[in-house]
Amino acid sequence: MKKTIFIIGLCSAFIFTGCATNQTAHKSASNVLKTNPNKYIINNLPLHYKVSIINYSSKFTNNLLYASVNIQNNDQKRYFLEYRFRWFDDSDFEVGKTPWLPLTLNAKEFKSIQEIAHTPDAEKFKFYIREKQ
Amino acid sequence: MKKTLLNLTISALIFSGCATSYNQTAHYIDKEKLGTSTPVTLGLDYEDLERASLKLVDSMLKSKAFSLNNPNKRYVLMISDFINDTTQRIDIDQLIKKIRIALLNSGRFIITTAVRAGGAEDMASYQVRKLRKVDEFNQKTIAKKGEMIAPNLSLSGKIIQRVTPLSNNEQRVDYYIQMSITDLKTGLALWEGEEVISKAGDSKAAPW
Repeated sequence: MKKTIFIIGLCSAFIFTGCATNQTAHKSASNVLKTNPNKYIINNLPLHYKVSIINYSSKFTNNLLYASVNIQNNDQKRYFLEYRFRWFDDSDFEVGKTPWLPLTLNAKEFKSIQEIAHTPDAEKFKFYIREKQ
Repeated sequence: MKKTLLNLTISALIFSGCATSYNQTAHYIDKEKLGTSTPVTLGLDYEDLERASLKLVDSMLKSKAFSLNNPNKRYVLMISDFINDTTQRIDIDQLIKKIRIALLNSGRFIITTAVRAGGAEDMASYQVRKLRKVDEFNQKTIAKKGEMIAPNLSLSGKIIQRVTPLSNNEQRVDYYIQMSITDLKTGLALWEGEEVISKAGDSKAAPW
C-alpha cells in the first residue's frame, strides 16, 4: 500500500521549467508577460487525462518572478492534491521553494495557481503537483 | 549467579521497553507538508501561522504599491503594534519573523530594529552611542550623529478570534489575521491583507 502511494506520488509530479534563456522580457521591466511554450511539460501516467495543465506563464512583478499555472480536472471525481513551486536562478541553483500546499480540484474544475518568488535571484521555476500524501 | 543473571535479564527488558515506547511517542513532523495534515488543535498552530504568513507575504510582494523604479532603493519598515484579540497566548514574533525574513530576502525592504512600537527591538544601536567620549574606545569606530535611517513604512496588525457553536455538538473557531502597511509620511495605508483560518471541533474542546 505504502509502495503504491509512493509510486503514485512520485509519478504524479508534473515538472515545468518556466523562463527559457531566449526570453525577451527583462527583469527590471515590471509586469512583462513571459509565456513559455508547452514543450517543457512532462505528463504523468496516474493522473493523465484526469488532471491536466492547460497552460502556464510567468512575469516579473516588483523584480520578483511571478508564476501562474492553469490546471483542469477532466474527471467527474474530486481530487485532493498537493503542489509546490521551486525557484531557480539563471545557473539552475535552487534559491527557494514553497512547502507542499493543499489543493482541492472539484469535478471538471479549472483553477489558476499563482505564486511569487520571495527572492529576486529567482529566474526560473518548476511546478510540482501530486496526489495528497 | 542465577539470581544475578535473572536481574540482568529483567533490567535489560525494562530498558528495551523504555526505548521502544520512546521511539513510538516522539517523532519528527514533516514541515514541508503545509496545511495538508489534519488540524490537531482548535488553537493556532505552526501550520496555521506558516500558511497565513506565506499568503500575506505573497500579497505584499505582488502589490504594485511597493514597485520601485530604482532597484537600489529599498523601503525601510518598522514593526508597529500587533493586537492579539484571542484567548491564546501568541508570540507575535512567530508570525512576524517569517514575514520579515521574506520581505528582507525580496530585496525590496529593510527592517529596522532601532525603532519599534513600545521601544527599540535591539537596544544595541543606542548602547553603542553611549560609548561616545569613552576613552577606552576608538571614537572613529563609533556611530556618529545622524547616521541612523528612519523608517518610511510601518507594519501593524491584529489577530481576532470568533467562536460559534454549531448544531452538531461542535464549535467553529475563526481566526482573522489582519495586517496593514502604512506610509509613515502620509499616514495612508498602502497595503492591507487578511487571512482567515477556520476550524471546527468538539464543543467541549478548548480553543487554546
